[in-house]
Amino acid sequence: MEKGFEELKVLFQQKTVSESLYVEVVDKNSKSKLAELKKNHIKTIATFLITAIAIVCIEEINSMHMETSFYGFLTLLGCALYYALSQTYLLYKLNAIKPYGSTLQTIQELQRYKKINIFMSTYCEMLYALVVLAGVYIYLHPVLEKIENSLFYFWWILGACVMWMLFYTLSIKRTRMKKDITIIEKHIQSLTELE
Amino acid sequence: MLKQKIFNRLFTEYRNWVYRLCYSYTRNQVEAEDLVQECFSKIWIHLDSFRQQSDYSTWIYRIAVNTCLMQLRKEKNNPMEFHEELKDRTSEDQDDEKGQQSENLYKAIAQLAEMDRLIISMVLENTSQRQIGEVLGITENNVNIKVHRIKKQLRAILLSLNN
Repeated sequence: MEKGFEELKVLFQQKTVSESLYVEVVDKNSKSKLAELKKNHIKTIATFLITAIAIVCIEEINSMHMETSFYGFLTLLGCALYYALSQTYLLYKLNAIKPYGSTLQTIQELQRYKKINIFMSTYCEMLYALVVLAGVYIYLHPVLEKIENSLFYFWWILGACVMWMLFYTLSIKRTRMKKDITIIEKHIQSLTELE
Repeated sequence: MLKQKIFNRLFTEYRNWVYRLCYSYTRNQVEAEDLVQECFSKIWIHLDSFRQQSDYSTWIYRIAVNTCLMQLRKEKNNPMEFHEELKDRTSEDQDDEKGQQSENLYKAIAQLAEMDRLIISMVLENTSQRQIGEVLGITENNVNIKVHRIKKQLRAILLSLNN
């Protein structure tokens, strides 16, 4: 009786999974990792588009009560739109990565994305922060000129903003960027191990 | 990269086992492979939180079993879908005699009760009764009794299928 059952075991164990399944499984895992990055980009795009709308609304209300700089308004609006656009570009670059079209190609695309991401999160981010500050100053300049002593307080507030932006860009943003880069590097590593 | 290495080892070691278990539930190659993917995705996600309180094998068996049982629940909730898919349940192995016998075996397993399918799949994979007990949360003695009964039942179904 047991001999017959041993034969059943052989029959049962005859079935094996297709060899390509590993690639599909790793692909699925990698996609979930990249999906996390995509989600972050989409969130940032939405935030900055809302910011752009908010800037327009604030300008609409402000223009009724006080004189503000139109160039300042344009600078701030441009900054918000630039940020949303830069994130859209990063998202586009990320979407262009098609895992397992060719492993080598995917690795190259990932490394390209990594470089752009680092560049945008460091140099562009700093430049962006400076332009935003300049934008705030230009926007409020006509108001500040009219109020006595206001410029003195304004510089203090602006100074505090500069400090916060430096901290935000160099610390908080940098940590987030490093996290993103780790995800990409892990993905590259998993692809390299496949070869 | 330790996680990736552990995952690769687990995948190599258990992929066929998980596949056969899933196949005995679905009897459809594509569906079974989808379930294997789902199992290993769960394994990947939860690998960091695996506390080594049990063997990797027991842990993987549990994930595979739960995934298969969840699939069965889904199919029961969508009887139309299940019925339609049954039409496709033919195997590429049916050409040769061994393949036909193997297919018959899976067909017979599919006629067993949910839990019995699981137990017999593990027995056919040479899993120890202690481990089966750990996966299902029942005593070794209980497993022994169940295995004896299921074997008998399986033989009867196979006999009727061959006639």
